[in-house]
Amino acid sequence: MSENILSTNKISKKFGNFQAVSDLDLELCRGEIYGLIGKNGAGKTTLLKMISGLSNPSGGSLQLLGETTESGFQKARAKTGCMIESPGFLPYLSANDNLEYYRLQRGMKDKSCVQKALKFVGLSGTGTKKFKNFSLGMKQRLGLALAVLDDPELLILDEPINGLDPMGIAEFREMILSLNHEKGTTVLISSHILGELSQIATTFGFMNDGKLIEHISAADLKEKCKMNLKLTVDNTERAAKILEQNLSCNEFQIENEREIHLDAFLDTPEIVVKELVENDVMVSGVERTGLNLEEYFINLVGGMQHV
Amino acid sequence: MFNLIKADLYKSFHRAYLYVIIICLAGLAVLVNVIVAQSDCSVEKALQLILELLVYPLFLICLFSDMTTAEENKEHSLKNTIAAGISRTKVYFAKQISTLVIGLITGIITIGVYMASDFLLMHSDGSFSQTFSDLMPYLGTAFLCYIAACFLSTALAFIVKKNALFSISYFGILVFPVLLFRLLNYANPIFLKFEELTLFMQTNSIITTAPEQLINIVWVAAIHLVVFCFGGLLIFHRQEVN
Repeated sequence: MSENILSTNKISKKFGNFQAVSDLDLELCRGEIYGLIGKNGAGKTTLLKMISGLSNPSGGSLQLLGETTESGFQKARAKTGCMIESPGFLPYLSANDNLEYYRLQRGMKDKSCVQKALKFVGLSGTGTKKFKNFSLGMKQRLGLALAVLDDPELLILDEPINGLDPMGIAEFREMILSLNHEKGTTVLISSHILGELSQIATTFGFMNDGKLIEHISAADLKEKCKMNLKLTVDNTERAAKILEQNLSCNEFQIENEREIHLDAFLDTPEIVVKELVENDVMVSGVERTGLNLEEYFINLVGGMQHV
Repeated sequence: MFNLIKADLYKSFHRAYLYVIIICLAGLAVLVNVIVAQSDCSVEKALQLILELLVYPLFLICLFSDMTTAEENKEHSLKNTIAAGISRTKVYFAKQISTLVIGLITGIITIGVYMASDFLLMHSDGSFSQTFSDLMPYLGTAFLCYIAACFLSTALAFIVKKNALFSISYFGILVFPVLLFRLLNYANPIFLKFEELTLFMQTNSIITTAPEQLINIVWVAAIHLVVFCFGGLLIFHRQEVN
């Protein structure tokens, strides 16, 4: 079983009368890429801030890299890279000088780590250009460079691809995947761009109104969302026998007495319909169904009116 | 903590802001001496003139807190430090010390330039060492008042996110109690005593205080220092860092 790198136990945060995060239990195993999904105001950033020490929880407890005490959290956070909300850097310093500032702050002996991090995110050629003159994409890259400066075990990224162009998004995805695959870095990432998250996350957590409403692996989610053919027939038992005997297909489920969900023949439904009709099964409906991550999320939070 | 201070100094000396402040203050120091030299003043008398200027550095201290702390709050870069697992107490004290160090460096350069221009532009009446040693208790007391003001300023730089509001709060806390107690004095003369206990009035009164009475100012400054320092730390610990 994978080592549990982060877990929260009924963690909560209240701002005045507003409950931003409510009794939230989250578990993250080493090596995972955990995609945190939720609409604006769902409590994602507040949760990530509590994990990274920027905000104090109002209740509950936290276990980070095996540590459960305040002094332990400091040790654990030293092994954690963070990029929460927009990247904040000193505007009058270059990318190199900004990272050098944090290298000195963290007492890192290896001076080359600054250049390595800049090279990794593709900013090694920015020279003396000041942070205030950076494009949004460059700022996001520098945020990632700081997060990976001292080879973190856990990377916490809050909306890291906001404002990036398609090329930037693809590059960011590759960087995160390479950290995960090559260095084994565990990643906790929140994003609104669900299509993007679906390409990298191995586990998903869905948040709504400060609560974690579902925690699901990518494989299980894929199973739940996968495309299939919904056949409406007059006799499901006979249809099932024809599918097995005539089309050698057993990838189907009988949903009720009139409905069969077929996982094969997605691109050639006419073959199935022809075979059924020729064998006296009346087909009154054929529909390709399935969900993408966005639709799944919308269904989960109760439809569009709640998004 | 040493690493944090080292990083703050690296940051501060990698920009024009600090150099501009140092050049302006050194230029002012020379200008004062150029003007004073017109009246055939001696080096020693020009040195004593420093006593009359002791209250003004109080207004400059927030520039150094701005450089080390307020700007980080404004640019949202403080979160990078806290999220790296550095304790808030360490960050708080490191910023306080960095502000003091930068202020001290600026002060030493300014006084150095002031004294150097003193010697270049004026003649000595032979009592320099005596005048200088007489001046030391006053400068030492003023320095403690500056440290207290520095702790107030840096604490506010942690607490107040907006730069303009930070400066207004600093000047407000420094000057507003003086005005308030002066007004309340009309209702009850006891408030005049409170007015005298403010950091601003204490610094202002250094010049008129006998050397043996300076200890009272030292105590008041020390109490201000402790209150500002730990008050700021308490709030910073509970605060959300953005």
